[in-house]
Amino acid sequence: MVVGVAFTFWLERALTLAVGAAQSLKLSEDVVLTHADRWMYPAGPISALFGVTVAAAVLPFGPRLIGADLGIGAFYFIVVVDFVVLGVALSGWGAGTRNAVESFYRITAQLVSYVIPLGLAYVGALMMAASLSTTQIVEAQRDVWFIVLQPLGFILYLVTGLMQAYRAPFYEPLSEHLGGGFLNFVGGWKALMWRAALAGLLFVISAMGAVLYLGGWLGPWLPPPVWMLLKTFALMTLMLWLGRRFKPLSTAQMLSLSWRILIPAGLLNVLVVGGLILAGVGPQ
Amino acid sequence: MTIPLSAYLIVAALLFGIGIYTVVAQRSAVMVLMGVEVLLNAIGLNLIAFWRYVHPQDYSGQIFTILIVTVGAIEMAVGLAIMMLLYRNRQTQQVDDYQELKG
Amino acid sequence: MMLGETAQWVAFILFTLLTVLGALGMSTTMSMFRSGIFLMASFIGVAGLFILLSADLLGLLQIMMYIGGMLVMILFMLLFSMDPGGAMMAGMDMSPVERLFSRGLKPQDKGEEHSGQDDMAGEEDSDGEKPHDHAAMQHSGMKIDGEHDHHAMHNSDDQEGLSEQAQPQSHGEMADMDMGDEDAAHKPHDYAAINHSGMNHGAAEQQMGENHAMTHGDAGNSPTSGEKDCEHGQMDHSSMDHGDMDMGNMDMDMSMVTPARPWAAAIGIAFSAVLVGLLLWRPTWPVTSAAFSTDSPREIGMLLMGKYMMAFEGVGLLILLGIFGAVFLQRPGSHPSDQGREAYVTADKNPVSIELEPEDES
Repeated sequence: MVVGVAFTFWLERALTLAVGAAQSLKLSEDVVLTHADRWMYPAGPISALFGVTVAAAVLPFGPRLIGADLGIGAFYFIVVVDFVVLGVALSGWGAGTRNAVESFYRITAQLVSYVIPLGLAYVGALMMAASLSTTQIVEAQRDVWFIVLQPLGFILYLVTGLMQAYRAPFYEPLSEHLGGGFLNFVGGWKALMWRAALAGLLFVISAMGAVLYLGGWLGPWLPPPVWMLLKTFALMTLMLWLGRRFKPLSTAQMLSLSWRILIPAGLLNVLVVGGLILAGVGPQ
Repeated sequence: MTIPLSAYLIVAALLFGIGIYTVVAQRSAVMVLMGVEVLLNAIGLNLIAFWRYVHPQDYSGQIFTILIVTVGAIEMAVGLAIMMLLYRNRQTQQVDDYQELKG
Repeated sequence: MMLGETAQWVAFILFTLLTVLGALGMSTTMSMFRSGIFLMASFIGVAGLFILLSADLLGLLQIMMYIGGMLVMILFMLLFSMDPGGAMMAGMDMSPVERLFSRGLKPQDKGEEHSGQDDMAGEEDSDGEKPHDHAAMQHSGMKIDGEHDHHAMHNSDDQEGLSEQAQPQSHGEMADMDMGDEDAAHKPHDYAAINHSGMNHGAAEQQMGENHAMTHGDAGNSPTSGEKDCEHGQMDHSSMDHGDMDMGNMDMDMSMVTPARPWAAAIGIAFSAVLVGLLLWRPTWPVTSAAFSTDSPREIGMLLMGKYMMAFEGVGLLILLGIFGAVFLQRPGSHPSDQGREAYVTADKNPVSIELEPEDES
């Protein structure tokens, strides 16, 4: 996990991405906001980092190399990552500044826009694997990866994963239009935690994408954890690179993208997967 | 099974009492909705506790709770929509000002 | 086994505390945002109890539904309520419980009132906007209050007059007031700074240090103003949300609870007491310790798609109706005071810095 976060951070730097104000966090000095809420404001980064760390527990890096092989792993993952949004809410409101509150509003709107298509993107893979457990999802892809069977679901996951990770082109709540949003007002250990949480968020989302669509640890010659990491970072690079190709979207555009394109596409994907399963394609 | 069933039921009872207090005492319509959510949660906790201790083989108890959670979500959505409409008409969200809805 | 039992009890007590205290805090705190967060904590506690009762799928479902749902609900509360941060209420009389759960909220003392006006003064002399566009600005992200809904609150007219009268004066005395502020003893106050930097177009000038140097009253007050360029965010909730409500309405009836509160508390306590008493009086239930399948997703799925198919479909239909109903009730332009659909749709086409042109879209 720590290695993953560190490497994610390096990768983002290497690609010199516009991730909003996340790069300009002030680590060396603590920011004193006299009107910040004493309890909620520090609770934000703690909640976010907690969510990301706990979510990493269900990521399988090998047949036995998993924090906790829960029977409902994938669902658990979706739920626990929501704590990042909760952290943003706590931090955004708790900071008590105009930009922070505004970015909290927009991040909530972004949550509303990505959460349904994200669920649909999961559903496709889960239907094929016929299980919620992450290890069994990977095992189900022993013959053929799900990206081959359902490319639409994979694209859906790319888009919603970027939305969930607040990376370009969906970084509007943290963008310079809002002065970096809630991130502009953090410093010291909170900034460090936010950095770790945001980088870790991207890492766990890419890892989950690798598990769902790229066959997780499966692969010839190399040991399983290496394959898993390779796929994770390949997916991360792909996501970040693709994200750079597009113009940043505003919150309203994200919402309309979600409702007009992503949700119908997700439903279509579910239908197609159902048809494939009925036709006997895929893991039996 | 080390924790007795009554412990869970007592928690649910406390939650129910707080919910009733909130529904009766709060002025803002949103707070009333939140009180209703607390009530629903107390009921759900009761259902799950009884499911676990009395009929664990039959998952119908959980189905009931799922339905309750769903109804809670619908209630929240429709309640907020109605509230927003009232707010646009009356410019207030205090339930005292909705007196003429009594009909 | 002993260890497992202890761990179970510890978890149970923790989740119980989270649940009950969360619900209590939700009902008694003065800040609406906090009450939302407390309710969320309470739900997470209930979810923990579900998981302890080995209903893991349901517990996670609970968390997922309510984190998203409560955040949206909190947004609604912030949009509708006069005092979401509880800053106005914080100075008033509270019962001990309320005080406990409202700790840390900043009451509006004299100094902050003045700084609220400093805010307005800053806005006013920058571009002649109305003093309450703080409220507008905070909401502009949601594009709901093009009409300045806040104006319609009870006696905002006299307050506008009041605060506008007060502005030149407060503007002139700004330096003194900054000194007089309680907090200023240890931290330089940059209320005015944030306003002016807000108006000083451009990301290039986001280095707030320069802006600080330009703002009046700052150089004299903070010896380290060059260093402390991080402290540009000092605006309290009250001045941000309700700059226009600062004065003169403290005698208004703004309490969050109805006059029937003692009765409500009595009813609630009586209800709980009766239920708990009944439970203690009849402590035995037909408890079975039969083994059961722990693969809850499969079991629930089988039941939902088999035995309870019709109920499931019915609830699905209900949700659909709920969505349609909510959308229908909320469609833009359904009320005479609305601006119509165009304003809502076009308002956020392009990301607009709220610092640059606070009012341009609405």
